[in-house]
Amino acid sequence: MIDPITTIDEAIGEINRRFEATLPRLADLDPKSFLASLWKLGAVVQDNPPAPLLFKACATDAAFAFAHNLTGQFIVYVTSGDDAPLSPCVPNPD
Amino acid sequence: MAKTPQKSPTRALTLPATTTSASIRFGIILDVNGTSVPVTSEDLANAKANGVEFTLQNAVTLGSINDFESWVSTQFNVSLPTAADLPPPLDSVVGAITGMIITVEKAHIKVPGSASKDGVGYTLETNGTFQPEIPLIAGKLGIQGMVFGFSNEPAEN
Repeated sequence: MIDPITTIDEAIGEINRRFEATLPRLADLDPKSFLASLWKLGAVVQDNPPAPLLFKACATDAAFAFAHNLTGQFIVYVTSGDDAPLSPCVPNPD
Repeated sequence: MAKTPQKSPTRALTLPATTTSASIRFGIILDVNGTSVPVTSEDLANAKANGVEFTLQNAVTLGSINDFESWVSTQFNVSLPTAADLPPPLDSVVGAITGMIITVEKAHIKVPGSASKDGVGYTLETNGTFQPEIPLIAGKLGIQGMVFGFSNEPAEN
């Protein structure tokens, strides 16, 4: 059984496992870096994302501040081939 | 009489060439006055060392913004001049600003590498188009719009 994914770091761990990637994990980053703050964000995985997406996880905080007045939702995703239009994760049915 | 199974001719097994490969990316859906403005990354191979750079996929039209002056003040931390601050015919620009159609033309975010002491770099550039243009010399010269934004990144050459 695979543990549920609740953070961006765990989503990246799943990408590394499923797609044989080598993205850095939270433990590899300077804990005070901005990158680490992204990895620490809570996340939700979208089940069966539409093609060409193969995997998609969105930060649960849709208004994370990247700069003083630039806010948004951080997303990590895997596509086959060309890039895909980006949209928020569709809530999974209960 | 039982049939003897015939051997299939030996054929070399050819696997199809890999035409697609998985591409791992990061993205941000920026909220600009309530409109989603997606920016995406390219190379993540050296994210730890080099950080991650996000750029706008396509220009995004926000439409007209009702309380434009307040939005500019909040988003860009600047104050617009009033009509009284400008000589004619430029003073008419102020009155036309509310009806401008705003489009995000450039959005860029650079998250530095893990060891970097730099802050996050950002640029948001928009343009506004007057509907209709503001005439300066009838039939010869007019103002079609204006460009504005904010950035903490070095200007491009």
